[in-house]
Amino acid sequence: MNNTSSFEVLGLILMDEIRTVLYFPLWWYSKGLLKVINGCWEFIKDFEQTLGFWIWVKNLFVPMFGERDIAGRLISFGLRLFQIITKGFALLIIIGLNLIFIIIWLVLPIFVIYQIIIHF
Amino acid sequence: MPNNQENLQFLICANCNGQGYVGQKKCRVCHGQGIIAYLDGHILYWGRKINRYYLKQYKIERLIHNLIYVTLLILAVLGVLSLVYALYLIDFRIKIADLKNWFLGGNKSLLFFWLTILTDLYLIYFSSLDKDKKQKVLVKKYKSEEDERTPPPLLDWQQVKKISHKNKIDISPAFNEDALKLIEKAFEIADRYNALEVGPVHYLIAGILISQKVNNVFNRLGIDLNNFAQKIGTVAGQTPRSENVTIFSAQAIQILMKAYRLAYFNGLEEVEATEIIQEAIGADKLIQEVLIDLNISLEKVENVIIWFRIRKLLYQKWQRYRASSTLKSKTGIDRAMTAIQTAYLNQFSEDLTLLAKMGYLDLCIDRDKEFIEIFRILEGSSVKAVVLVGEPGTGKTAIIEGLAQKMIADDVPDFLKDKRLVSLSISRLISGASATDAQERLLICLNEAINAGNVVFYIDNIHDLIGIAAGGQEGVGLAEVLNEALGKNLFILIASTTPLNYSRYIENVSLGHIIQKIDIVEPELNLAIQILEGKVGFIENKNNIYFSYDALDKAVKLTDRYIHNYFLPHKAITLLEEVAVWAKKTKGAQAVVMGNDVANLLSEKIKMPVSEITEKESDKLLRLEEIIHQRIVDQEEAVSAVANSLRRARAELRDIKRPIANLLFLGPTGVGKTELAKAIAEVYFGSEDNMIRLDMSEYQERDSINRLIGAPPGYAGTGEGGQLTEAVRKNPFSLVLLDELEKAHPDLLNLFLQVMEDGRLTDSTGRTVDFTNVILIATSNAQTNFIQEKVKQGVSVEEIKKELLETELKQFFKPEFINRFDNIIVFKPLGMNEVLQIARLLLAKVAQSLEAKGINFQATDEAVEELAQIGFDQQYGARPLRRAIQERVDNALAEYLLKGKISRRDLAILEKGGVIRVEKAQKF
Repeated sequence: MNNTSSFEVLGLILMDEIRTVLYFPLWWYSKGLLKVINGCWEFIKDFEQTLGFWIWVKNLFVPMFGERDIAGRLISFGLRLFQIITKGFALLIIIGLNLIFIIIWLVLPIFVIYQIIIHF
Repeated sequence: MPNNQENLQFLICANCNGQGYVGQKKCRVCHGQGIIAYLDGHILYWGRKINRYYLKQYKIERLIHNLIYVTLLILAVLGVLSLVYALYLIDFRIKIADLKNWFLGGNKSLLFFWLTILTDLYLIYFSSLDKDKKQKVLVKKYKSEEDERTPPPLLDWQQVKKISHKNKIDISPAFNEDALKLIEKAFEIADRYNALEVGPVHYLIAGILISQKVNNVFNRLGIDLNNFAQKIGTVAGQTPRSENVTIFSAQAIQILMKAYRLAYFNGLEEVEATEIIQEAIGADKLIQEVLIDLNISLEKVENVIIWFRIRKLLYQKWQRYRASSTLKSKTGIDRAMTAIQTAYLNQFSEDLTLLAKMGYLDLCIDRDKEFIEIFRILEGSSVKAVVLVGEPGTGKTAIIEGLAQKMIADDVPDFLKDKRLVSLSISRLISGASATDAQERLLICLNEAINAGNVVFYIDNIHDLIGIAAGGQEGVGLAEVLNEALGKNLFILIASTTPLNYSRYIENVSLGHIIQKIDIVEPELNLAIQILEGKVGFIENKNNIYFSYDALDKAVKLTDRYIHNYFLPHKAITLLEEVAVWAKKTKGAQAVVMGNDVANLLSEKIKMPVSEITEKESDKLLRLEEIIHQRIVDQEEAVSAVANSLRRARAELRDIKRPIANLLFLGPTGVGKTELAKAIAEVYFGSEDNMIRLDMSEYQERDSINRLIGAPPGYAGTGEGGQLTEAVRKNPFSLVLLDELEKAHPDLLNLFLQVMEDGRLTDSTGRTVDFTNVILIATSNAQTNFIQEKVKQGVSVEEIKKELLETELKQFFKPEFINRFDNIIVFKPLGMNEVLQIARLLLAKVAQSLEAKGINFQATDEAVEELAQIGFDQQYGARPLRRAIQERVDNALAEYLLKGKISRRDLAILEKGGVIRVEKAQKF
């Protein structure tokens, strides 16, 4: 075992590399896809954190800046509603962009292969 | 830093001797695993084969991988270029419709472009696979104390087979690239030198050869790497040889498993080269011996590796805090915008969370225990108020600043999330205001904070609030205002104070009853070193110098031992800051501060030798008797006893909980007792001035105890401090001389019992004064006649001393008191011969003072003899001699000088009969 030549080792490694190449398509639509979805989810969560969307939703009925009289509460509610709508909209856009990214991930290999075939 | 001592449980296959293979075949008993370890419910094994064949394979594999990476990157670049080329070829003048070519096909440069896109996708896949090959070290789960106590099960290979695959962990993917290369290199080295198996020493050599990090560790330890490598080479030469191939033995794998355990308990993500080196050194007694020869213990190595870990951890922490701080507002409004601006409060306070957000606060190390306690109390009790009670410098401020940073990162329980930590300044609150105004200010501040609802108060030195009352002592004080608000549970308060102030001002007032106490104790030495390791980075950067580990070690250990009125870690940090500035000025930029630099600076500060004994000094110490004899005539026994105790003290062979030496000098007056004490002060503390001299005949009344340690409250002189305690407190490195001890009131002697035994004394204000760095010398004339009688009879000093101790001295001192002295030294009465020598010494002093005026002075032998005869007195020793010299020499000389009979360069000769002859010098 210890006297194996470098060529034998090289052969074994090349076999291994070929196996890796063959695993590529399978990986793209299984493990790779899961990774991308996970990454997108983390990104969306981070963005939500930055916006503080849920904090605003949870505090919808809490008056802003300690203005606890009726007028203050009303204004607060209106303002918070407005903020929640804008922030929600931004969040939706980000979710949409991420969805598009996932779709691109799914379609891209097929599209690339199609392009290669037509230009061949 | 968790430092779990729990040992790994190993199971080594007896069938294949831990090799995994019997001949060429996989071992049937262990299924090729050879050796496994049990760690918190997991089975660890080493899955990466290490032998010549595999090493070759790994090398080629690495090469091919790198080739693939480079090719893919080149293709990506070419792909972009081909796209640019395709765009360039479009002839926009003809028809945009031509663009349809792009989608209909037949475009060769586009074909190439799309091919490279495919390879780009492959690059994503390929690097992701590479990343997947790495695995993080397991994360340690919280275990209850009961779990910790349960012993791990006894393992055998049959059982191991039954354990689910999920719990069997190949640890090799958790080792980073540097560590893996080190392991391979260790095998290569062992193989090249035909070692039977890979041992700890091979890891060490490999580390020194290829790992920059390992080199950094040894550099910080101040090791000369060439010298070290040579010695380690000798150790390697002593390992067993093999005719055949080198094996990667069970011992080698054990070290790796232990390194993994280390990473696991320290919460590291990957195992680094340093962990392997730490375990390798720990596993080999011979390497440890080599290191000890270089004055480096295993503990030191571990602490340096912890140092690197702390720096990495701090950096990660800093990044996390920076990232999360962007979410926090600059205006003090919470994220839900329910809070209110606190304009008034802001005038009297500082927003610590805001400072943390800006990055102005220092990072805090190793205070998890305190944080957990703070959170537990604040969360659990009905009144949310705690007070941190600790000596100045023990880290109260560091904890508060650490808390502010945790709040920024939301690394706190829910009730503290999205809140501001506001430090209320008492001095601003009361400055320029009457007590009533201050009270009003505090009320408004509290009101604002309560309305805002997101304020957590921090009050430093809260004891300053006590006693400030509107309307005199009877009125309502600031503390009561605070107390009332706290009672309603309207806000959270964190305060700080010192133990003395806590017991004096807070414990017994109503505020003290509702505020919960958290003791912040001075960290023990090792922890203090680790805190320093986290801090010195800033000092190093600021001064552009580097600290060796020894410098940190010395700073902590020496300040702990010699500086007792300040506390760790602060006193060590201050010392290092001073050393850093000193090093920058004297050694220049990029200088390395060594342990002895720290010791030297401290020696200078406290005027007592603490640095390593240099050759020059050890020579001086060995010649101590000679040096002392330059001032003291005869008294051989006394001088040698004193010299011996000084040598013991300097060589660190003394009890550090007691004074350096407790000596009792007995003997008639005028024989040199006080002179010897002065000589000791000069030799050991650098100057005669470092002597605290108390004439005990002034302390004959019982009341005089008040003068010694300070008067208790209500007596005259309260607050002035005691004559002894104040002097020692201000100058703890000095000689304390108690003259004529037998004359003191017996009750006072009891005080000294404690000083001599425990090295400390508590003064009337409750302050403990440290006596462990003084030399205590008491002199006594008791039983002078007895000594003189015995000497006349020709009894030896040794016997006189024995008799004194057994009978005579007991009239004056209790036996337990006499027992406390390290040495009781009897001074002999002086004979004619000694007085003659003293006369010479004294005349030499006269000559010395004349020399300053440019006048030479000599005395003929007959004159000296005559003086000695006049000055000799059995009863008074050498005292009359001094008088005689004064009358016969000094007076005459003074007259000559005043009358101008003697001037510069003249020679004055003292002759028999007290005549002073002047030989005039030649005039220019």
